[in-house]
Amino acid sequence: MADDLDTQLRALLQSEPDAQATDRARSAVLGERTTRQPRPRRGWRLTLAIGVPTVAATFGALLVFRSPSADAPRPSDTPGWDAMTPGERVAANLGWGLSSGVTHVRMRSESTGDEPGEIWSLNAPAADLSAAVRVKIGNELDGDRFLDITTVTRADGTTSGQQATVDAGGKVQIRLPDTSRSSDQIPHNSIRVRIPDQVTMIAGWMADRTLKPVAGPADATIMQFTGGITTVRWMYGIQQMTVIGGGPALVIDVDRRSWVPTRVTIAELRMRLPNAPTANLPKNVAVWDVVDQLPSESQTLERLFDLRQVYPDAVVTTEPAGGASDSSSDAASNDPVEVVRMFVDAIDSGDPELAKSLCTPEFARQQDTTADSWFQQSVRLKLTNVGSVRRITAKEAGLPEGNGVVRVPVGLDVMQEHPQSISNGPLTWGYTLAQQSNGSWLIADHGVG
Amino acid sequence: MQTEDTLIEGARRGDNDAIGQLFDRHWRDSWRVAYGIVRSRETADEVAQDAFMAAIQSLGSFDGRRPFGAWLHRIVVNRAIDTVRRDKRLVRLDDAPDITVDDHPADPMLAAAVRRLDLDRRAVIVLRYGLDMTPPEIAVTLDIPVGTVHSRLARGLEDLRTQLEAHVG
Repeated sequence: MADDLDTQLRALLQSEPDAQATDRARSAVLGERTTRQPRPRRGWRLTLAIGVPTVAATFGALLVFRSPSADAPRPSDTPGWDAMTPGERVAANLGWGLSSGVTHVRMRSESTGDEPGEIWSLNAPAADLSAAVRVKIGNELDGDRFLDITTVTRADGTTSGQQATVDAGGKVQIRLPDTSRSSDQIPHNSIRVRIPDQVTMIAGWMADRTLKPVAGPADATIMQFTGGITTVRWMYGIQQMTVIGGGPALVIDVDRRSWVPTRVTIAELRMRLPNAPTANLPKNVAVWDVVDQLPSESQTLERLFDLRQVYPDAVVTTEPAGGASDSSSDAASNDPVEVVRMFVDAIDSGDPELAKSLCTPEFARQQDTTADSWFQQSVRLKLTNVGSVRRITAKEAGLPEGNGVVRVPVGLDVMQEHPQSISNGPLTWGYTLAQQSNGSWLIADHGVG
Repeated sequence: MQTEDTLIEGARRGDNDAIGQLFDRHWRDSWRVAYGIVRSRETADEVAQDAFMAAIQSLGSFDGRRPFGAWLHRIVVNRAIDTVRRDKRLVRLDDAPDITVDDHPADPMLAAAVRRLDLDRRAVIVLRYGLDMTPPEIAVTLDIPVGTVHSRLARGLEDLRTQLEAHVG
């Protein structure tokens, strides 16, 4: 039986690649990309094409857009393009790219091949900032790298940026820092958008849809939308949009491929905001399923995400561009259990920066260099149990003498992308927290029990 | 015939001939690894190609402590597993047919059983029987202990036997 199975497995698994596919792959690897047949995609595709790399630690890059469809207008073909500032054109282009639901970008280097990247955030105009985008670059070989592209339009009309310049056509020349590479790592599939007006657009769109209540009070309606940080995630093949701000929070689940919203959730209070009172953890009060389908995807997608329509009225954010991460040392709380809850939520949300902000610098650094650290991989984490907080001495915890030290035993349900030292499933765990001079608690250690 | 080290050095300099030779040496095995895990020829083409391109682009970080093939195959395994997981998530939510399907397998029952294997076990099975790697070679490739390779291999085979016997029974 064993020999039979061995033979059968070899017969099954020792298949040969198709000759044409091999030729295509060979050409692509050698840089002859014209023969490559990409998978068909709907909608638009946003492409970051890097120009000729230099021997220095920077690259020149060009932000370009291309469309597989002949009838969908580029922003430059629409009325009003001529009146836009270069920065507005950048934003229009970015919004146009995002409006199609295409969130992955490819960073193409002429000599070294493709590298996947993602638009990480897109900022509304603030002060003299006309547009800003954060691109996340990463693959199995590289650690997460972020590229903040900020364009600034001055009073005299000239435009430049920290790492980008914009030409009259709205194209962005981007200089990519060639950051050092780290060990194998899968990037988080995640995109952050800081466009309060998008929320308004979504709200307007949702008002026209047939929504079927599936949870919460039957008469609950969407009454208010507030600006803030919009987080888009697709941990399970959905785009989950989390609106963070004062007042009710809105979560919209969107079909990843069609970008069609499928579920709307209103949370009672604002969610995972660093400076938010820790009592304000998300609590869903109403959930609706979107019942009807879109009559015309392209038109609706325009309504959903097209920045051009809302840009003139965009709410000015006071956040500096490049500050896309909502991590902050202010995230800490005076309640160690709440710190643990926030930490678990941050890891679960694929937000290592926020998680690190809840740790002592020493512990954060240590975790950054641990092989299978939860800061370094996609992890779904659910807090299943919180035990009694126990005060221990700094000596017991192996920490320097200071203020208070406590131990918070917890039960977790863990699902890691690449489990190594910790298996997926239920986990009896615990966190050691050290009190800071301002009274807040930070995680200083963790471990079994 | 140039040594692998020479080819890698050439590839680092952007020498297309060296890159081409590396491709010719490793493409088939890379594709087999991808196909063994994703069980779709089209997806395997894409996964193997993307992994190869990423590897070539990232040769600067290849330190030579393990063979190039092992390094490359780990990239392929990671990408393939990631692809399967992503596709499964889409399927679950969209309530659509499984988009990771075998393309005319010679042994449909065994192919279906392989597809149902836990991904970590599937990867080990694919390296063992698709590439005829030894457990120590698999351990180097996946950067896991040899004991883990043995246990995943044993459990993977046990899973396959159980599935096949249930089908026959």
